[in-house]
Amino acid sequence: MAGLCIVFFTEGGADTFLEGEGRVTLTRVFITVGFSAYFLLLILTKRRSGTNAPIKDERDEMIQKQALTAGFYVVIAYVFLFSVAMYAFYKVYSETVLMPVGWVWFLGLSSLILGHITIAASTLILNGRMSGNVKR
Amino acid sequence: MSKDEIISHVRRLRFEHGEMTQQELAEGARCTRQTIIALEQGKYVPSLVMAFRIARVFDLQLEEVFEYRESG
Repeated sequence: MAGLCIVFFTEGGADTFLEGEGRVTLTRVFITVGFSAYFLLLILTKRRSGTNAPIKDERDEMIQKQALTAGFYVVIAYVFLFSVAMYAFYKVYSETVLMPVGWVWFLGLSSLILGHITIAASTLILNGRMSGNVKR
Repeated sequence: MSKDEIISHVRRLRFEHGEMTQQELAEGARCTRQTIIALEQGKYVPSLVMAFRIARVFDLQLEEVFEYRESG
């Protein structure tokens, strides 16, 4: 996410993002490296039972569901607020309300990354609390 | 808003059943050891199915393993 922001906001921001191959290529590299590392970590940290106890049970599934829900709501809130902010900004500063297409790329990529970060963070927090279910 | 509680006696029962380990209980109840830890710490309330499975491992009735306390 930090890499994407640095590449995106340096040298002209959204207006010039798609001009020339340099920044687009760098973004591709960041995304490829980031997701490769993510999937590699998933493989390396995969739990293996070795006993009769299952690797995953109802508590893990509940944590996963709650984390996915959190990720979903964060992403839709982010997309909504980002879009409204973009519209308001270009409405005020541009008579034609024409938004550079670079912002759409930024929104797409950043929402994807934000979703993954939110789900991962939520899973960690819920696992830390160990409360996959509502405590009554 | 009521603060009803489910009290788990899993920890005590494990020790009363020949110092049964969390892993052994997890294997018997077909859940993870992390879930047993959470249950013993009172940080997780299991589903009815899992509660029955745990009770069956101890060969006890459900209410001897989990206690429902109503407050208010």
